[in-house]
Order: sequence, then structure tokens, then C-alpha cells
Amino acid sequence: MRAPVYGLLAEFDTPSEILAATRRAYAEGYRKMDAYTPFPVHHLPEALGMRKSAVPLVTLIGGILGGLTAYVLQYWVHVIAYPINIAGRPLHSWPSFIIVTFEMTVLFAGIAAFAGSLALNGLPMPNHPIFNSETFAQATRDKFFLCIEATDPRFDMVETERFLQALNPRAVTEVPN
Amino acid sequence: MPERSITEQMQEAHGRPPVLLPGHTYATVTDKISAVVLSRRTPLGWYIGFLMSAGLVGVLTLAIAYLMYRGVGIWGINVPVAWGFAIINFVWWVGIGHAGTFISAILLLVKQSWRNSINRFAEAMTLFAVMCAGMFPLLHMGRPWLFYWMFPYPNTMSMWPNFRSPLVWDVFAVSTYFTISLLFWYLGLIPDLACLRDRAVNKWAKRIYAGLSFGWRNSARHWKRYESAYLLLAGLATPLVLSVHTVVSFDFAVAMLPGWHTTIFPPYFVAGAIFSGFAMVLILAIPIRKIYALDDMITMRHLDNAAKVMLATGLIVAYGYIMEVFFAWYGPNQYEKYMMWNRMNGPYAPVYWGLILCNVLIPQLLWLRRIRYSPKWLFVISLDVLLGMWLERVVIVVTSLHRDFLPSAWGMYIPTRWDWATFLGTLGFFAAGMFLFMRLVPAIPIFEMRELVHKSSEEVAVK
Amino acid sequence: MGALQKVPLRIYHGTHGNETAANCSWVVNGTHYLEEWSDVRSIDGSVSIVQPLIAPLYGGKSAHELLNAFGAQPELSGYETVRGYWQSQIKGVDFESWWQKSVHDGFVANSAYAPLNLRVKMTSFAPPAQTAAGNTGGSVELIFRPDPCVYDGRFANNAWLQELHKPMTKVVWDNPLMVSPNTAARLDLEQQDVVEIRNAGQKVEAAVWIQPGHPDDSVTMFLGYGRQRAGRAGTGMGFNAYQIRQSTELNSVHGVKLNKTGRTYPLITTQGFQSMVGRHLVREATLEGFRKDPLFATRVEKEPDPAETLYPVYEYTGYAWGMAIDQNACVGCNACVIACQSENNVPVVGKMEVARGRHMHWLRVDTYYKGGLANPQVYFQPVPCMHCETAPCELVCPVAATVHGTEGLNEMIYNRCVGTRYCSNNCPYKVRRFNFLLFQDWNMPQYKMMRNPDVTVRSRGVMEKCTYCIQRIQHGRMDAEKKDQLIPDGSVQTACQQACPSDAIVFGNINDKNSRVVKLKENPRNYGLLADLNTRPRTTYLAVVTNPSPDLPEAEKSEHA
Repeated sequence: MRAPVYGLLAEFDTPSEILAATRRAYAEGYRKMDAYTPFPVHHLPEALGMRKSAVPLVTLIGGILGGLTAYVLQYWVHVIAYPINIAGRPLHSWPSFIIVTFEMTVLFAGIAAFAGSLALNGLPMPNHPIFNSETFAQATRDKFFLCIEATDPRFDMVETERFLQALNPRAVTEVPN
Repeated sequence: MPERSITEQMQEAHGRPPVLLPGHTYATVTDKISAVVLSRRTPLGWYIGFLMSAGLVGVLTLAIAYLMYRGVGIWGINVPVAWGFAIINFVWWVGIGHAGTFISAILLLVKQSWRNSINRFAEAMTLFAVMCAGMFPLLHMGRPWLFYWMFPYPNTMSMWPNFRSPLVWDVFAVSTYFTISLLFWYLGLIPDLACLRDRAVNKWAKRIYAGLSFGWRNSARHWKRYESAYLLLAGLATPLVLSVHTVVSFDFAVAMLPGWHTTIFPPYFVAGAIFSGFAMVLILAIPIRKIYALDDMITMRHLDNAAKVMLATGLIVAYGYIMEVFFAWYGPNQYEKYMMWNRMNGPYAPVYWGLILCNVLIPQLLWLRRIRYSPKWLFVISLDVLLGMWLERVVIVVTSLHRDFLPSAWGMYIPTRWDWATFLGTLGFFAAGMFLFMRLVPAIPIFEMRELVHKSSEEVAVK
Repeated sequence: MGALQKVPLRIYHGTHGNETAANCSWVVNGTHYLEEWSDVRSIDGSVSIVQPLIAPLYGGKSAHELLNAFGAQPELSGYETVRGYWQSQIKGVDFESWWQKSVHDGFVANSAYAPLNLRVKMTSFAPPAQTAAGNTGGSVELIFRPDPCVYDGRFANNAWLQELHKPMTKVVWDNPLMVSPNTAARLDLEQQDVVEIRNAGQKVEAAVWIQPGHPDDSVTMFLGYGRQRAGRAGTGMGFNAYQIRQSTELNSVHGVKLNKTGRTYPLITTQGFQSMVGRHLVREATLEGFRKDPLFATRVEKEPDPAETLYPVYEYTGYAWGMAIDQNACVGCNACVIACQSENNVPVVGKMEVARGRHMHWLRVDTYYKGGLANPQVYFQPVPCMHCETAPCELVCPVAATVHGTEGLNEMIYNRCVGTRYCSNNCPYKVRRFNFLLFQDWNMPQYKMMRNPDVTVRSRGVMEKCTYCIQRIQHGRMDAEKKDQLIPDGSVQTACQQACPSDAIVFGNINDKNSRVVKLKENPRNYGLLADLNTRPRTTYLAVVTNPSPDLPEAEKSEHA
């Protein structure tokens, strides 16, 4: 049975305001919350309690996979699968192999970074409850939002609303589910 | 005496024109840029331009169809000059693409904020340039329907490509370059597509932008991973800027022809690529900022910096030319000596000297501040650089091939109307792509402009 | 044509509907000599019975059958006619066995004429009428020569011969008017100028070719071109020298004027440049120089030592094919070029395509001049594929369509070629030929019969080149394996080697120390063309050694290499 309300949304005008508000909320003990900003704001993810992202690791793994694949493929093709005399060159022409290895490393790493960051973000996700808010569209223009979700253990319609109002936002609205 | 422009006033105050003219807020940059796509009436010039480009795409289609029907013999290639316009144009287009990645990736890593407004259309330029480039290696093949044999895939013949061949390296380098550029460009586009989704009124536009933006909701947590991926892609694209055109230069450097077989090609090609790419960036930026009144976001600072990059890379290219002459003169290789003499005095001498004029002499005008601050002059010089870089590839490809080791095999290359049609057709394809891009997608990254507004407000606050 | 028209009944009997046929009232389809029964006498009088190789392709009638039609037995076939004649001539022996033997042997035994004892009366010979030295002003001596390719014109419709590069000029599909450089300067003529020549009330046009070494005040025009009805290949090509040639002056005419028309005519050649530009391509020495320094050929340019390499060397332990071309023996006759074209189904591309630089000859003969234009030395250099051990072409093929075989052949795999043409760019010898368009006729049934079934016919978009006649090597291998032995030296001959009249091309197994090719390669005159590029060619050349007479003026002696 879904709660009727997804969360409470506080609207701010500047990055410093949203940063301060988020820090206060975290200090207050709220964890299930998210901030929505029209551009990335420094230190905001850490204020939400987010530590490191896994994207660099995913990228590294992708790159190593790409490089290994490329080199092993070339080696196998020229030395094992179909060893043939081309221009009197050695079968294991490692200087020639370097280039494709490099390119595949970059390719796999790039795809891993792109796909990995999207996947880790849970995207594509066209339907998210936050879109039910009418004012939310301003997040892609000039407004900064802090949303405390109803699933947070400390969430209470009245208490949380009072807490948010105390942060001096432009508005506090409900986000229907 | 006309009133001094804001640019001039800011210049006086700060010593250089600003990256973003003052007076903007997060809302105004958003509104202005998205209006170009969503609400502003499409200028008549757009229709005319797009129609003309589409016409050239028609020419391209016809040229390709006839080529497939009859064979590469419709072009002017022969033995000894077995590569002509197709490869010249391939290298020219790929070179042009490199500036986009330089701006998106390298300028990001060295924290040059002037990249913010121009990187998206520069990267779009890269994508279309690489598409145009990529057509030529396919078209110039004798049996293009078998192009997939250059990729490694298991098959009934147990055959694999020859990984020692620079053409196979090209396949990987250009594919990687296109893919990474596309991913990088698209990643940068996602937040702006979300912005358009939120602002679009037309039902279909809203749905399409919603789909393309993957449901992006500007979450700070998402931004963190996003920035990480963005930075990593920039870091990956940076070596590509240097390596892709290096690999393209290997098409020549690995061969044994005098005029091709030289170690100076990798850096010389990369510098030349950025040189021609920035020329194309200016050719796009100057009209765009004028027609869409975006000169507050693409300011004289951008034009000045682009001109400086052009000058610097132009000097590297000039150094390359001088070195080629020096190698030929100083070294013992008689074939190389003849090749250089032939370039300067032989049947293609006008092309060589035209090259020196366009690429070495005329760009020296960029030393003058007055020239760098004049959009009209910059436009003309950029056209000249594009021409010069095209002539450079003609000199490299044609003069080295037409007279090599055995005089009995010497010949001439005369391009046919189909050579020209294909080339002009790709110009149309590129232009059509850029027109569509301008019309359908925010040409200036909105969220990056907001970051600039934030930065300048911080600066003001600090002051 | 006027005289012929006065004859009331004109019947043409021949294989081609040519100019004569056009002026006759009846044309009878004749047989080719390979399609008919006949008999001939050879030069010493020996009789030979001619037997056909194939039934008439176009329903032709032999001369015997034509004449029979006017006689008592019109249905008599050529076979019956010839056999019937000899039956009437041969008495005293069993005719059937005589017939079988004569047809089998190819000649009739003891049918030669007995030689006669004759003496020639020298008084009937008059000295020649004029010499070229009498020409003054703008007139020259015009010399008629049979064309080195189409001869007197009978081969004008032979496209192979039309596209064959002439020995000195390398011109194709036309007959140039050869003029010496001095005469051209004197008469203000430039290459490709069209001049009009009048003689005996007729006129003809010709295109000028400045020919180094041609005598001054004399011009040469080749016969056999300018035909009006010579089929697809010959009609309209070149200029008709017969127009101004009279039976009283068959070889040369004096006092001829060349009138400039102001027009030019494209004369197309297959060779780009005829000077060696200071490169050591054809190396030569006088006999004296050779005696002083036998290794002159390899001294002039350093060839890398095969051991000088970063890479492991491939061992060729079985057969290792190689070729040696003796430039002293080569006379530039071009027989090798036609042999190669015939053996390997090399297409003809036509004048337009040759003008664009797309002639398809796998083997070409380069002609280089050295020395002054008035009287240069001339060298011929046949250039087939070198089958380089470190072939630059193989390295750059993206799809491995050209690889190195275990016997040292650079193998071109048509099926795999996708046509990027990088191999052609990287070949320093430019021996690779590309099918820029569909040059072969896929449909004509006669071409299918003409072609060598052992050799693939190449379609558009693939590269081709000399294969050392790999199909002949395979035949030789199969024959040797049937007998359980090694391929004996000389049993496999490449087509060019087989056709060469002066035995200049020698092909064989370089691992066989007793083979002819090894003997030639061990000759001190042996060198590799462009070997300083480290291509390690299997085809090498023997340098030219000349022995000029000490009586010749210094300027005419060849220079030291």
C-alpha cells in the first residue's frame, strides 16, 4: 500500500542556501532525501551523505577488459589461428598491436563510463514520483530543491514540514506519489 | 563617436573580454538558449540554408549511387595515384573533427571556462565531420559491400584482418573516436534535454525529449556520478585527440613513399587537425552568435582564444613544412630530395605554393589584435585555413604518389566531376547536420552556462 | 576505289567485313586457317597438310569450298577436296597410311624442292634515287614502316596489339609521326601537333611525336592505322599512311612538307617518363669497365645484407621461385607482354582508360633514354612483380588479401581483395594493377573460349598483378608429383619466359643450385631493382655490358654506370 505522499519538497533560490539546508537536514538525522539542482553544486552530494561513486572503478575495469581483449585477439589471430607470412614480418608483431589495443582500451572504458554512470544512477527511469510535483519543473531552470522522502524513518508530515519551513525556503510543497 | 560596447567596457575593466556578458541569471540563460529550439520562430535563413544543404545531400546521394553502380573508375584515380579526393577529404574531415574534442575534453581538464558555451556545437561539429570522414574509406573501396571484412569477427573463411595494416588501425581509431565523441556529447546533452522536456509545450516534443533524457531529474547524487563520468570521458577523449589523427597520419607514415614516410607526420597532423578544426569552429561560431544574438555567451573572448589556438597550431604546422624541406635537403635520400623539388617546381607547384600562402603566410595576420577582434576577418582567415589544410592533404597525397621511385610509373591525377560532387555533397551533409542540430537541440550547454553564472556571481560576491 | 567499281562482279572472301568487303557486291564468310582443311608449301618447298583445330565458329567456307561452288561438285567439303587432290597425286603407296602419316607429322616427307644453282646479275641494280641530305627548307624525307604492333594493318582489330605499348615511344592505340628533336625545333613542331602531309595528290594528317635519336630531316610514319572498317578496336584509330603511299615509293618519299594545322591530337603512352632521373635503374658498363670492376652493378648502390634485420628470417626450404632478367639480351620487342596478357586473361581497357593511367599490363617493358636527345642510349627493362620477400604491399593490406606463400611468391587473392589500393601505393615498382571499372566482358561467349581456364577472371574492384604464372607452377608440380620427383629446372616456364625470343627472362627454383636462374643470379652483373629499399626482390636483373667500337666518336659511346 503506497503512501499518498512521496515526500516534502523545499524550494530554494541559490546554491549556498540548498547546501546549508541539506547539511542541516543531514545533521537532523534525515537520510532518505535528495537535492535537485539545475547544475552540479560542490559538496552537495557529500552533504547528502554520499561517499564515493563507483564510476571510476567501472571505467577502469572496462578499460582493462578492452585492452586485454584487443591484445589477446590480435595475438591469437596472427600467432595461433592463422599464422601466415605477411611481408616477412614476425607473427607476433607487437609494435603493430599496440595501436588497436590502445583504441579498444579507450573505447571500452568510455562505454563503461557512460553506461555505468547511467546504470548506477538508475537511469533510464522516465517515471519517478518527483515528476508529480508541479513546481519541480523549475529544477531545470533556476530553482534548487530539497526533498525529504516519506520512507525516511524520521519522516513525519507535520514535523518535517515545520523543520523545512525553518530553513527559510521559497516554498514547501507536497509531492504526491 | 559610438558608445563603447559592453565588451569594450568589460575589457577595459578586466583587461580581456568576459566569457559571459554580465546581467545573466540562471533563468535568463535557460530561457534564451531553450527559446532557440522551442519558442523562437525559425529564421527564414535557416530554411534557405537547410534547403541548400539538403540539395547538396541530394548531389551526394546521386554521386554515391553512380559510384556503386559503375565503380571507383568514375573518379580520377589511377596507377600511380590510386588515392585521390576520397582520402584527401577523409583526412580533412577527420582533422576538422579534432577541435571539437579538444574544446570539450582538453579545455575541460585544464579548467578553461571559455569552453563552456562552445563545446556542444563544437562537439556536434566533430560528430558530423567524423560522419563525413567515415563515408570516404567506405566509398573509396573497390568492393565497398565487403567493408565488414576489415572488422575482426568469426567467419566461415577463418579469415581475420591484418592488424599490421594502418587501415585496420584507422577502423578502430575512427570508430572509437566517433563512439567516444558521441557518448561524451550525448552525456553532456542529457541534462539539457531534460530541461527542454520540462519547457516544451508541444506534446510530441515533450515526449521525445523525455525519452531522450532518460528521465533525468537533476538529482545531486546523480550529478556526482555524472560529473565523474564526464570528467573520465574527457580524460579518455584527450588522448584520442592526439592519437586518432596520429593513426590517420600512419596511413602515410607507415608507407615507404618519399613524402609519406616521415616521423614528423604524427605531431604535424595533430597540430594541423586542431588548426583546421578551430577554423571550422570559428566559421560556425561567428554566424551562429550573430544570427541567434548569442554574442553575450559566445563573446569576443572566445573568438580571441580560438584565434590564438589557430595561430599556435598554425605555427606548429609551419614548422612541419620547414622540417620536411630540411629533411629533404639535409638527408641522403635522393628520392626525398626529388620529391621536395617536385613539390616546389613540378606540375603541382601551384598547389604547394597556394598551401604555403594559405597556411603559413595568411594566418600570421592573427598576431594582430585588431584582426583577432574582428569577426569578419576571423571568418575570412578561417575559410583560408580550411582551404589551406585541404591543399595540404592534396600536396601530401597527390605529389608523393604521382612521382615516386620509378620514373616509368609517373603519372598525373586530375579529379573528375564525380570527385567534386562527392566532396561538395559531404559539405552539404555536414551543413544539413549542423542546421538540424541548431534547430532541435540546445547549441549552447544550458547547465554549463548556469555554472558560469554561478562562478561569476561568486566572483562578484568575493569582490 | 574507282578502279574496283568498274569490275562488274566483285566477290569478297575473307574473315572480316573490312574496307574491301564494303566495296564488293558479294561477301562470302571465309574460314580462319585454323578452321579449314588445306595444304601449303613451306619455304623449302615441303608440302604441309593443314588440318583445322576447330569447326568453323561462324559458318565460314574455306577457299576450296568457295571455288567448289563454281565447279562440278558444289557440295564437296574442304576435307574431301584436299584429300581428293592428294589421292590423285599419290601413286604407288597405300594412300590411307600416307595420308595419316602426313597429317600426323604435319609435313609430307621428301616433298622439298631440289635447290637450283643461280647467279645474280649485278648490272640490273640502280643506285638509290635521292638521299635525305637533299632536303631543304621545310621539307623532309617521309619513311613508311610497318607498325611494331599492328604490322601492316592486318592486326588493327586486335585489341591486345592496339593496347601494346610500342617499343620506343610506348604510345598505344595510335601511330605517332616520329620527328627528331632538331627537326621539330627547325619546323616549329611540338609534341601532339597535328600536321598535314601531302603526296601524289593525296593528303593525310598525322600527330607529331618528338623522338630522341631519330635522324634529322627525316620523319617516320607507321602503316596500318587510320582504317575505316576494321572492327571495334581498329576503326578510326590513328592515321592512314597508305593514303599517301604509292607503289613507286613504298619505303620512303622525299621532299615532303609538314603543314601545321594548328590542332593537337592526344597521343597516349603507358610510360610516364623516359629518363632515369639519375637513379640507378638500368645499370651498365662497357666491357672494359666490367673487366676492371666486375661488381660495378652492385657497387653503385648498397643493397642491405639479408642478415641485417631485427626480425627473424623466414626460411624457404622447399622450392623458392625466382627470376633473372638479362637486360643485355632484352631487345624491347614486347612479346613477353602479350604472352602475359594471353596467359593471364589480362583485360584491354581502351585508349580513354589508358589516358587516365589505368592500363592493365601485368608485365611492362620500360624504355629509358640516357644521354643527349639527339643520339641517346636506349635501355629496355621488363618489369614484372618482384615478389619481394619483405613485400611492402603485403604489410598494408587491411584484409590480408596479399600474403607471402611458402615458396616465396607474393600471392594475390582476388576473392579477398576489397580494393583499398593501399598495396598499389606502397609498391615502389608500381607493378600492381587495379580494376577501376568492370574491364572484362562477362557475357561474350567467344571471350570465354579465348581465356585461359586456369586463371581467374577478375571483376571490378580487385587488384591484380604478376603471379610468376602460378598456374604453370601448379601444373609443373602436379606433373612432377605424378612421377614422384622434384620439378626439373626448365619444365616450368612463365609465359613471358616462354615467349622471349632472346631468352632474356629465366625463371626457376633458386634453392636448386644447378638451375639456370641460380647461375644467372650468381653472375656479378646481377642486381636488384631499387634493392636499397630493402624489399628483397626475387626478380633480379643483369646489368648491361656494352662493347662500343673504338671507331665510334666519344659522344656515341655509352657512359660508365
